[in-house]
Amino acid sequence: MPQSTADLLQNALKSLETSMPDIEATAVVSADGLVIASRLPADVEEDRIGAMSAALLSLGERTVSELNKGDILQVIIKGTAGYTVLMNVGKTAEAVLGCMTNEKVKLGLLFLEMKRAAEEIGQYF
Amino acid sequence: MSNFKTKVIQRDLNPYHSFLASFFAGLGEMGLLNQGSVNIVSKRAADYLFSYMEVKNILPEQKEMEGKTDEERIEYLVEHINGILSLLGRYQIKSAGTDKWSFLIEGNLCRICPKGVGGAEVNGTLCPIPSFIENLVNLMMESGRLQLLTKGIIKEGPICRSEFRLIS
Repeated sequence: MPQSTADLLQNALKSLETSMPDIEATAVVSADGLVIASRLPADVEEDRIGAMSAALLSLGERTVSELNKGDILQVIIKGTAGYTVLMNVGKTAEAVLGCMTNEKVKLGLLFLEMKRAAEEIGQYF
Repeated sequence: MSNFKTKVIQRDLNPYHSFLASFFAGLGEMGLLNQGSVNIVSKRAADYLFSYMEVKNILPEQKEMEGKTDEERIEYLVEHINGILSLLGRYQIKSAGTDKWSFLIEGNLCRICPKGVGGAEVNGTLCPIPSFIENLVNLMMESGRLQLLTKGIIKEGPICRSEFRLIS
């Protein structure tokens, strides 16, 4: 039986999470801040995270544009307990891929895995 | 007649409509606002407006809703809200199945649209109405709870549609 887009996205997120033990949560959010698929902790309000993630990436895009720094690659938020990394998904940035990690994560490897996941997820839009 | 002048006259905009719509539009264009955050912020606005209506003693009369069907109650409350805020020019609440309704707004007559009125040049929608109506109606209803089924507005030509259901 063919899988639904929702299932395909969940599988892609699960695959991303299992690629690195330091990844704690993942989500795919539409460009207008609505959660499409997520693997977030139960105590997190996913609607708020979705809205904030899309806004953060959108602000990042505008900042990069205003400062003539080319095209945005990621928005990285560093906290004392870990990182949140956001990047665009899809040829025309239809969605945002978000990844939350612990503080020990190897960022270079994370970027590679997220890029791979974003390319896969982008096919479903 | 200029496009903007037509808009002001056709939609019967007051200064508050113009201010709010353009303010939202500006925030949207800066990347600070999207449909997801509008949905969350609209709930806050509904809570605040309910408190305002309590202070001003302009909440709807509960006795006016006695004997009304669920659809009539929702229509009455939405009309009450629009009577105070005058955000919508023309709209319709239409049954979409058991305990489900479509809320259809004539987009060309909406007075608060950040895109149609405020001129926001953004992809997607920034409509505060569905989440605002859902939350304010729920604060006013003594029984039952309205639940928004769509995550904002679905544009269907000139109509802006959202779907709700009533939970007992």
